[in-house]
Amino acid sequence: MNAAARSCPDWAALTAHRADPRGEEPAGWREALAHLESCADCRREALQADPTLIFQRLSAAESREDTRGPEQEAEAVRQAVASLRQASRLTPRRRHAQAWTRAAAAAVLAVAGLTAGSVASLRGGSPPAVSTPVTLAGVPAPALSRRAAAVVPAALHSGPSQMPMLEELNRPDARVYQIDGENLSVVMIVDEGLDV
Amino acid sequence: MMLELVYSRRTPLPTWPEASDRELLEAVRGGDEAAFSELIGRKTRPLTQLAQRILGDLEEARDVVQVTFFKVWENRRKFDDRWSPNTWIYRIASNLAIDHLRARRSREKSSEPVRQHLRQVADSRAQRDLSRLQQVEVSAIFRELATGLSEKQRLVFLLREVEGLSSQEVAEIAGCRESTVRNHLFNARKQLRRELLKRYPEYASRFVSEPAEPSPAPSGEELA
Repeated sequence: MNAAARSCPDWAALTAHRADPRGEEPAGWREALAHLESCADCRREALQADPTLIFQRLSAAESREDTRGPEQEAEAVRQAVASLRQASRLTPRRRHAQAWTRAAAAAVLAVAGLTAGSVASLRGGSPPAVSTPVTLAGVPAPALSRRAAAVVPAALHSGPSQMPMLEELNRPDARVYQIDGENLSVVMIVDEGLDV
Repeated sequence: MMLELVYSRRTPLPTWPEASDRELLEAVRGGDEAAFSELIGRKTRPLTQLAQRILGDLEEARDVVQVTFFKVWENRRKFDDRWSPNTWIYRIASNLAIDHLRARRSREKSSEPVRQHLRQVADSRAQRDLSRLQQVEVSAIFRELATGLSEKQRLVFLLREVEGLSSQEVAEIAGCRESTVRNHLFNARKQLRRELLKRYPEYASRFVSEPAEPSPAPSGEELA
């Protein structure tokens, strides 16, 4: 203990108090820690009594790895948080937009298909038959159900052998939906790659 | 027809740099961007330091702080007036840091290089004085020894001993009782002391004989 500093605390007593697991920090502990900063003798004595006090020093100094200034650091965080917020806002919107795009693409295809069939039937010609059946990701798919196969040709005034076919999609994520009505079935091809 | 102003009251807008943390968080809860910006400016440094001490890595600490503020913004309406603003933010940050720590625990770097480096730096046979250790060396030693602590012990030790928070605040942040905080703190100190003496015997000869420490009764939370 420094003889010149008469207010030097009793470190043995203070650290012994801290060794009691049921106890809170001893009275005057914060003041004693503040005193450590200015008293080299007390630092030695305190660390002899409790070496873990060395870790108190972690709070005193700035990290040497951190080369940015406080405002620079905060600005970097502001920008990163703004990006995160923007990304979180965009995600649901994009999903929403995709859903609308898909629905619109499906509707346009469905209307186009029906219109072509109706026009062909009005002209008395055959519907726009295409050579290959619908395949998705290279897998031949039964494009229409039995019910649809029965209904659609009737609607288009054509026989089952002339069932309307679509060009090969060759899109792995495309899906085909079918809604059966009384005299009409609507087939929807949903593919997010189709722009409307 | 004449329009007459009969009453007008203008609430003076607070100047954010002078506002308290609570005023800032209340404004943030209402969606005030300027208050949020001020909050980031005020809390980035202490949160980065805390996260860095938990994780032992500055870049990871920065990531944690960014996500902390993002979560503060996203959950701003959940902030309750009864809570301490500091406690709320520290709790978010420390939970994220601990999650991060768990995620990369298996990849934790070996402590051996740290010890080798420190020994190379040291005078070969000279007796060393713990009180003369540089900040960077203390950080390296803590990083090494803290790997032997549980996540809660590490968090409690840092919040209580390094950040200087009260047991009550630490309990709120760590989500446990004050008695558990004291238990974690006691065990963390004991573990750090033992490992410090074992791994750094060059300092040990300077210490007075190690006092016998009574073993604490385990709390109900620890037993659970």
